[in-house]
Amino acid sequence: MNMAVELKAAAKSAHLTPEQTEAFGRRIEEIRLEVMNDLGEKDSKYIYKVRNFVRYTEIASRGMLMFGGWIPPVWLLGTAMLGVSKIVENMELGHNVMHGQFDWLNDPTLNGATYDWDTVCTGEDWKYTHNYKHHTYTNVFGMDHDISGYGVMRMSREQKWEPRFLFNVPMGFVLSTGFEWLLALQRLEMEKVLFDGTKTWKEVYVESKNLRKKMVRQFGKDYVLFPLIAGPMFLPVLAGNFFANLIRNYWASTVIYCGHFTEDSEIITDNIDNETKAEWYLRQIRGSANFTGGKIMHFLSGNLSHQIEHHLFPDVPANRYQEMAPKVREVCAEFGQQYNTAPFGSQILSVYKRLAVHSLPDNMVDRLVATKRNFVEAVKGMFGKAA
Amino acid sequence: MNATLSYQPHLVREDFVDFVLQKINVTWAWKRVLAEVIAVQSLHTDMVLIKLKPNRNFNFDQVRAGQSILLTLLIDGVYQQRSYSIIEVTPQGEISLGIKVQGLVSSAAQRLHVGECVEISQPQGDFTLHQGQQPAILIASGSGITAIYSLLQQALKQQLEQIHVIYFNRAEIFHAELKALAEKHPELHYHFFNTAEQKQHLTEDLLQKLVPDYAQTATYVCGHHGMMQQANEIYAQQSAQSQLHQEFFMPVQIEQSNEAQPIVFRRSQQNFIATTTLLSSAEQAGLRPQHGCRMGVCNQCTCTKVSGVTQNILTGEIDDQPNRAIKLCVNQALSPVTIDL
Repeated sequence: MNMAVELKAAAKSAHLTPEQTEAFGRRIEEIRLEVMNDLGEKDSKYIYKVRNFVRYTEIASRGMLMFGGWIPPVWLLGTAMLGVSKIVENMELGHNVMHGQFDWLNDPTLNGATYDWDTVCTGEDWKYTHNYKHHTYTNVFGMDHDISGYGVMRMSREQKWEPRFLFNVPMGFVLSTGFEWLLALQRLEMEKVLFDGTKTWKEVYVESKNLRKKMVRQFGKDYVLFPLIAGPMFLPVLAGNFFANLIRNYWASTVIYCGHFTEDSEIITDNIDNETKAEWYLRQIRGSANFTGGKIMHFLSGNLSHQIEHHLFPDVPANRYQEMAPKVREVCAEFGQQYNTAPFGSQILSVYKRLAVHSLPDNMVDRLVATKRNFVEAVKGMFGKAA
Repeated sequence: MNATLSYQPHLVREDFVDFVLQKINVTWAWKRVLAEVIAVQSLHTDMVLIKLKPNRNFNFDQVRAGQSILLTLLIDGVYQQRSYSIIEVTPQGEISLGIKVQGLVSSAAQRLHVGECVEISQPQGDFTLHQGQQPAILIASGSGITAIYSLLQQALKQQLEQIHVIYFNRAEIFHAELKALAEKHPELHYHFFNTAEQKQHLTEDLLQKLVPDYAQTATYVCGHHGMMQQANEIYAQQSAQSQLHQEFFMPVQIEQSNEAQPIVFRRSQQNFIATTTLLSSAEQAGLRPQHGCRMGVCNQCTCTKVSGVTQNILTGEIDDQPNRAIKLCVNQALSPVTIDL
């Protein structure tokens, strides 16, 4: 079967025939090949530079907290720097390495299969929920756990409304706050225990065997070991580590929300069993969103500011997305496909607007929209007459 | 799911520890074997002798004559690895390697400078001499002499009753040393063929002439692919394969085909025959290696290929290097393959 992914009426992208879709896929594939054939020393040096950045900032920030934690400006700087160090380790180093983007270096310390990052989620669990589920079934309803609001938020009309979704917007903040724990617990799908009763706590306990080990490790490192080593600086170090983790959580979650939860990110409800690679490419573009920004923004977001390119080419080193983006955008324009990109601020707003809209039952939203339309028309009518 | 069962988060990142240690001394490392280049000498126009001094992580006591190490070099930003026979280990803790310049790693190895630091593996391989004093035949061609030279030293030390060395080469690498040894040790019979002067292959006739009872003698062969095959055929005809020990050090030449290949999953001790992708074949054999998208995207099935030749069916790329990460779902075997799963 060779059927193009069906479009929803609201979609801003042109419908492509199977032939057009395949042609589109070939063009995207060309962009990928061009970069893959060019990988080499430059990319290798880049990732080692990133790793050294993480190492030096971690040493410097932990040092600051440990020895100068009692001086407020030093504490602030140390905490902020540790937050940045963790952000870069998680996003530009860990996330990309765990996608296997740097497997070709043949360096066992930067191998996607074995790398384990500085966050509660185990590398193993992450590769299942993220690399496999989310990247393979991007925005496919019922398959991609992310687009079902991680089981606790309502992101689309495909999800049945329940009263708990009234808290969609505050839930967005709550999830941001504990984002590393959300990612860690995601694979356990505890909402099945809490809301559907299709799973038991016992099953959760058994499945969480590895996670519990990692939790002890992460918690022990940031909240026991380092504060204890610091001796009299116990409290400043403890607080610094806590806030550094929090900074990382807010930043990482916001970047990730912007990648798939903006208003124009489509939910796909089709059966994708017989999908071709070209159709897969198309789906990745329709389900992802970029945000614009400078070099620092790209670096700190782990190049997830190029979420579209990341989804098309998850195994291409992320430092190459910047140069690929204009080419992808050009192909999209040629084939009439929406290339969802906007400044960071607008994308965040768009995400929370989407959360707000879906927090209410659909008929209420429809009524509100109708009322608003009538009101606008009435006002227009009035002023129209006056003019 | 072996990987999941044995999951244990690291307490400290090993690469971070090594990073700090290397700031103090370039050859210091927690677990890895790093070695300083002590000497680079030319043995011949296209062969160099490299002496390395490994750090204390190297298992000196476990080195047996005939074994090799993997030498890892950073070439154009990528770590490349090749296996080289250990010629000898000195009492001062130095390792000598004889490297013939023929590929990427050996060319880079030739350009190493004294004082540089490289990574090597622990000694490995089972191309080692038998116990006791039974006679042996040692056959080498080309740079295969490095492993054979090492076996010879061991053979002399073990005082074997009789040792035959049959050596084919265009260049006279180690020839003088071997000749000197033969003069000193009456039990050593040395047969050298300079193939630049006279064409000479390993044949049954030749073997019969040099060592009439070769089929009853333990034989060790290291050299070019053609010569190795020849040896295989000769001993097979005599039904004496059990006497034959071979060390392959060059990529096996294969035509692209999709013949059934035996696969070994090393950690789980599973064997199966692969005819399609490694992943599908493993599953047909009732194994369940970790996997995800089955289209080369998600990286869930990436694992280490310990040895053998595989081909990526997406890119057509052939990989004949040891210890490389491959994705099971998009690779097929072109030779027997061992995988670390």
